Amino acid sequence: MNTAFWVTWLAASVRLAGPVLAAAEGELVCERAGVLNVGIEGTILLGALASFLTAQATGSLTLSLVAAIAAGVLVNLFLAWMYVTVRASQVVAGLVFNVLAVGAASAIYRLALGGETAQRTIPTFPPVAIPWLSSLPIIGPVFFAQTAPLYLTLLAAAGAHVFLFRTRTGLALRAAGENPRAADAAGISVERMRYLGVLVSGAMAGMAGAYMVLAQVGFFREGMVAGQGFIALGIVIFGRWSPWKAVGAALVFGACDALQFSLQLSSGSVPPQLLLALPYLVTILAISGIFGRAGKPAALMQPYSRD
Amino acid sequence: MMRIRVTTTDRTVDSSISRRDFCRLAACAATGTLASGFAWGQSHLVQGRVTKVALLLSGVITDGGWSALAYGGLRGLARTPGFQTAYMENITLARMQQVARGYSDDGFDLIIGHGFEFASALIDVAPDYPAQKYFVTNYQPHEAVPANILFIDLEYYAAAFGAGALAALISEKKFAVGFVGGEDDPNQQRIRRCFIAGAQYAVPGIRGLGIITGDYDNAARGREAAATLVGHGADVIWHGADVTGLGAIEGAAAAGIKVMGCYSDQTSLAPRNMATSFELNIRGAVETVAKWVAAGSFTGGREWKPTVDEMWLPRAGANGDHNPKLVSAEAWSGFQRVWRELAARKIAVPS
Amino acid sequence: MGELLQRLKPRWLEKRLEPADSPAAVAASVVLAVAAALAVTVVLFLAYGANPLAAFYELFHEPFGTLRGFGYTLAGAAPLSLIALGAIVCWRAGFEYLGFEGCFVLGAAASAWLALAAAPGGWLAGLPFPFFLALAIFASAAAGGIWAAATALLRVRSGGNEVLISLMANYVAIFFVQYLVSWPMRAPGSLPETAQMPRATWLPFLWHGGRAHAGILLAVAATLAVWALLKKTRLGFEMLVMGANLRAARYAGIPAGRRMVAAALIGGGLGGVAGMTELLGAQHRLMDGISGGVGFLGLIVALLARLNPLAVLPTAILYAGMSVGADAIERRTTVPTSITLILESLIVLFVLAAELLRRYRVRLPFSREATEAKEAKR
Repeated sequence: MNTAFWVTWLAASVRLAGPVLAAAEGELVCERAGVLNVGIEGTILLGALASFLTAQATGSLTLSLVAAIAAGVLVNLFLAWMYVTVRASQVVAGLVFNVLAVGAASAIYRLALGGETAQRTIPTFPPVAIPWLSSLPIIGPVFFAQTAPLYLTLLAAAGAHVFLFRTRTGLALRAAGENPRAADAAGISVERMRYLGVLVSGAMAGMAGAYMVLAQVGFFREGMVAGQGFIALGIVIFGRWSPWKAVGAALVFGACDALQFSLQLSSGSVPPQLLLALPYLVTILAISGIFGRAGKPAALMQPYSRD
Repeated sequence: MMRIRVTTTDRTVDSSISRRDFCRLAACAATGTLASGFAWGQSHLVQGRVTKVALLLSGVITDGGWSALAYGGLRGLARTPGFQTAYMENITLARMQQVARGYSDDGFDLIIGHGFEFASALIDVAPDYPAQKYFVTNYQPHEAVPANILFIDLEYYAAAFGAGALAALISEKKFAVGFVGGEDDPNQQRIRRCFIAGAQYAVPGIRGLGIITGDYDNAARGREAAATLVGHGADVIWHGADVTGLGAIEGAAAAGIKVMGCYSDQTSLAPRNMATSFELNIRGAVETVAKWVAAGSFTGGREWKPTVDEMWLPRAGANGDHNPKLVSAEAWSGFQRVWRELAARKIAVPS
Repeated sequence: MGELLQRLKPRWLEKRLEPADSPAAVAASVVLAVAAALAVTVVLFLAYGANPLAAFYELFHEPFGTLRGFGYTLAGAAPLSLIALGAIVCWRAGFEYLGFEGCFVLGAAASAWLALAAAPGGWLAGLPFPFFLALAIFASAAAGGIWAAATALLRVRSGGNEVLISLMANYVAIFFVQYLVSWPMRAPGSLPETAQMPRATWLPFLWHGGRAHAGILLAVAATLAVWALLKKTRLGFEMLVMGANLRAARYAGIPAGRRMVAAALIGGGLGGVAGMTELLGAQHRLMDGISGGVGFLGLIVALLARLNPLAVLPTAILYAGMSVGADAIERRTTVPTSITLILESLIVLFVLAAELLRRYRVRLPFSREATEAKEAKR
């Protein structure tokens, strides 16, 4: 195993982990408020579409990123209404929303194409090497020669940490997810905190979609999210609802994904399904309670009603 | 289908008007039908009847790749007098039989399953509908098949061998060339082996690398697979993986190496890096089979075997069949020699 | 947002203390929800140049107005209702299990293994169908039940959260079956799937030429069994007590841990049998992606049936009919799949959201209730 193997594998891990991590950080805030948002898969897709269409119309990468975040917030307003106001089953509402999102994205994309089937791509964010840091051996090319959305995602992870653990609103939001009745008694609006959580997850999922389009592939396809929203759910659990641990968890998921590429080039005797299932097995162990308390927000998935 | 809907609307109109009006309207409708039927009439006279063709897709017609190809053939048919067409997208494995039976019950003459996934569903359905014809755009499985179903040898393996040869010939460093595959199945495994064999046939000693990503739809994975290949020394990449493959093209372009397209002319995705694309002539196959059915000369229960140069057409946008900035004249003539031998089936590709 | 709604809400709208629960109220809210979903999709049909009336006609006529379509509807309803019944057993016992996708594929895999063994030359060859069927039910129920019970054990023994564990465990089961059909159980040939199951092992079709199979009869039997379990047995009663209040159940001396594992065995077992009916009744081959998400659709059916076992079959038939009708729309009109996806998901979302309507009462100024309220104020 030479340096090329490590650098190739780890850099691929980081690149694959990026968008999923962005979605996971938002999901984490949402779950801390007590809402399991399974609908991020759909929000990522709609964010990807919004960024692609904006990039085509304006050519501005920044504007496309903003549009995706706005689209994510907008559609999650509906999700928040379903989860918090209607108090529908969070898992079922989220799953059905994902189907709706596929239908909507496909219909909009087709109308936007207007019968044209030519391949269209848009320019993407180039990698930005951070001076000095990027020249470190192995770590340099792996972490510090990435695209702007990855740096933004890492900032968002730091932001999530500061917000949850250093601000009053963050404290109130966590209270809504741990013990909504007590939070309510203390004068916190549980509804408002949960809406906030779902909207934050919408913003980050929208950004994840933009990340895929604007930094990974440069085009839009209806099937492009391919279950990555569900991987984000796994990352939140594996990272035990901590913004920093989620970064590590995302890297583990990305590394398992990327390892099968590198292994195919060296030996190729491991069934790929084993490597694909590995992160989920590890996540199950992490949440099983066998290795200590998992740190799940106590009121996760429990709709709250004052009366 | 249009006509079905027109009659339903007419019926609702009819029920709400008086009897005399109805007679007058019926007369108008009849002349209208005659007038519009005239255009059809000519083909009717030639063909005898309208041939109804349904296309079943596992993806969407806007994928700019695999599904778009077959849809192109269907659109060509829709413009041809004597044919009526329909298609359905996003058909999952669990729904395939139900959808195929639905079209069969609706009286479609030819039902085309686009992709290997449809093989067993249509084999299971075909015996129940002996009057209908079925066509799967892929190999015949290793079993006897009903007499009303046709398969096609797309010469995928020969094409992969040719692509491997061209990749090796245009490699600058002559160290390694790479292939990015889709779902992990024996087809893709064999394509990888053929690509590698082709590379080593054209340039002995060169390394052939291949990654099967396990997914046809995940462009990000395709891009990382390409990056991994580049990290292991590949300087030319080919793919056979639809949307995942589009990611591989992006990855190759980002790394500044040469890349070759698959299924359709993908030059516009990476104009400066795309040496050529191997366009799959599904359009021609769909049109040919539909015309056999219309003419009554369809014979099923077998595998149709066109040659590799009929099924795969090198394309490079405005440059014709290859980009001369990336492919030297010498490399191109070397490739053409291999291509001709493959078409004449003089080279035994790996099994 | 809710508070905002409260503040903005018109004076003729009044919040009920308890949501209206009468069958009429439920039916009215469902009809309203479906009508709203259809109204939204009218616009989309027009955008794609399709006649909405013709499309809606297909939506209802194909699944319920034709024998052929009704056959597909029953075939689709069988696994849906078995999964919904399994979910009801688990959820009403307070075990919030979501792993039916996993139970389903494992049940299908177990019965595929048995059915392939019943092919000529296999160790089960020549077994009469009734014995084979009993064996297949047992094997698929065991596969699904043990899979679900493993999650229940993690919850009972070490306090893991069953919702999250089961969501993740679905992937493990799906990858496992993908491995089975890619390598050890693959038929010679190109596809990741098994050979076709021997004809002798297929569930019988209900009528000649139709696709409805005996799975729906199993679903009827399971409905009665689950209803009897919850209403007539001590085990069922204890499960309901646990579901209502786990702590109270423990105080009353109910061995909650064991009862929860029992609920998981029964519920997961039903999920496994659902996989068996789909394999031996409809698909006749084990393949990657055999579930098509039915493990989650069954949960939707359970919710829409409001966790009442007797309401499951009608709900599942309506739900399966909806997707058969959507297929017909796609075949016979010009709309693409995306529009029927939107239609199907909007119907479900709106039915879920219609719950909200039942929490309010319309108080018209001249209605009797309003006058009474005024009188009371005086």
